[in-house]
Amino acid sequence: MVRFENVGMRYGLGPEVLRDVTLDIAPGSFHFLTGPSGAGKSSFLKLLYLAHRPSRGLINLFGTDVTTARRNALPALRRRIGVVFQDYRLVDHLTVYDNVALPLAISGTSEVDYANNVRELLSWVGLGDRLLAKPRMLSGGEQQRVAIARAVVGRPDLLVADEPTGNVDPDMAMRLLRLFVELNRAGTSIVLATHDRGLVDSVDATELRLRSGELTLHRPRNRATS
Amino acid sequence: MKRIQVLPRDGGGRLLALVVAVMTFLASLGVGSGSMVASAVQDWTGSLVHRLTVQVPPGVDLTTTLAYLRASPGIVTAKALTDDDLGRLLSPWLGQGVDLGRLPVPRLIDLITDPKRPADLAELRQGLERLNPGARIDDHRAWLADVLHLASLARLLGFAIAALVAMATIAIVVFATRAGLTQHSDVVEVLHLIGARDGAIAGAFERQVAWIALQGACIGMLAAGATLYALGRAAAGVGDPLLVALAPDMATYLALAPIPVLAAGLAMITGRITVLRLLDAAP
Repeated sequence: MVRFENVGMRYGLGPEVLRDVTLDIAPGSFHFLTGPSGAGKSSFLKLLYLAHRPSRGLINLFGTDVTTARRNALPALRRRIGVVFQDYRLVDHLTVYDNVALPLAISGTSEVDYANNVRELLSWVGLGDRLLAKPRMLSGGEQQRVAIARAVVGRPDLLVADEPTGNVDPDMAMRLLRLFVELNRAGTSIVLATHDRGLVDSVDATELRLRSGELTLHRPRNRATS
Repeated sequence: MKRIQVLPRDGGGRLLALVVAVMTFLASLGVGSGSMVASAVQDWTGSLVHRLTVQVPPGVDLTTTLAYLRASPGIVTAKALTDDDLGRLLSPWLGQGVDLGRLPVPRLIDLITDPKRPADLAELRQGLERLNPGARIDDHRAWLADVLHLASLARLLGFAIAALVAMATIAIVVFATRAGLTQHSDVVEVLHLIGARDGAIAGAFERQVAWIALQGACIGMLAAGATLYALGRAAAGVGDPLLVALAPDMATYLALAPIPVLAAGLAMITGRITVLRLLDAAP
């Protein structure tokens, strides 16, 4: 489903922040992405959710070579990817409901078809009574849950999450992790960047470790989800 | 697709509406003035185009001349202007109550010709010359030509003003759209990353810009209509028939009616092209 071959990435004329990254992400797999700050995690995720193109190497996403794909081919690929941004990136002047519904509205789904899904999902993440609130009225943790709901509402083929539990209490973190695991069981591939070892240890998933722009894979001892 | 309000209703939108209102006001005044002048000229020329004026030297008995004119082919009516009529015509220069009998004022005959069977001017001139040496016929052609020339210049000027204002509006909408795109670049980036096509983002911008422009243009057009109406009332108050003809009529107001829609359409197309170009240049 996702294939990186000798991928390198640099910003402008700066040094390479990712070097010779090669990996496969199979459909229905679960990966944690770990590494210290500055190791290149965010850059790796940006390549995954098509915010950047690689400086060299090849990335194949859902059968499309994204390094050479035309600009107008990217939206269809992006609609198959759910993203939880580290800084949430909610649209401030839209309500919680509209923020979560945004990917579905953009893909042309009728509101009649998604209204119940959006409400149920928001109830599940504990925001059923905040549908009409604006993001600025929410706490950091609540905003993070809205961002997660927006990422998963379209049941994407690939979910990319950058520190999705970094701002919630441990109970909510485990609850959100369960959401990701359920989504993964339903067929979505998950790539979850985190610093939380407890989270990594609670799911049998392949760990992608980034150190100074270089990626290594660490298979779990008991494969449960991938 | 659910409509996305990409640009929040903020001060930028109100400023754009204000600028479009001012621009539309100026364009409406240009178009309205052109239309008013065109209507007035039509009024003036319409009342003169089938009329001739015969000028007979003073002291001549008009009975034979009138009889000749009334019998001529193509002449519907021939009516000599009375001393009162002449007095009114000359009052701006000579004042009221002047005894015209003591002045060598030529006598005037107003002719109305048959539109379907125009009178032969050369034959009329010859006949009048035989009856009254020195008599002249004025078909107002020179005056009409000057007035029509002036009218076409006025209309041209009106539309030139409207065209200049339209160009200025395009430039303003381009700047406003660029500013909106920059101001909301974070939202645009999120929309892109969750799969929005450039066309959908441009559509959200164009709808918003068009709506703002429509509101501003309606205000500008109504203000221009009210201004022209007030000018017309003031002209009517003067009482001069020429000025009364300059008052706006239904054709003038109808010429203003499509301006807000045109302004909104112009803003919409400009906004769309601007956004698509900027997005296309993005990585």
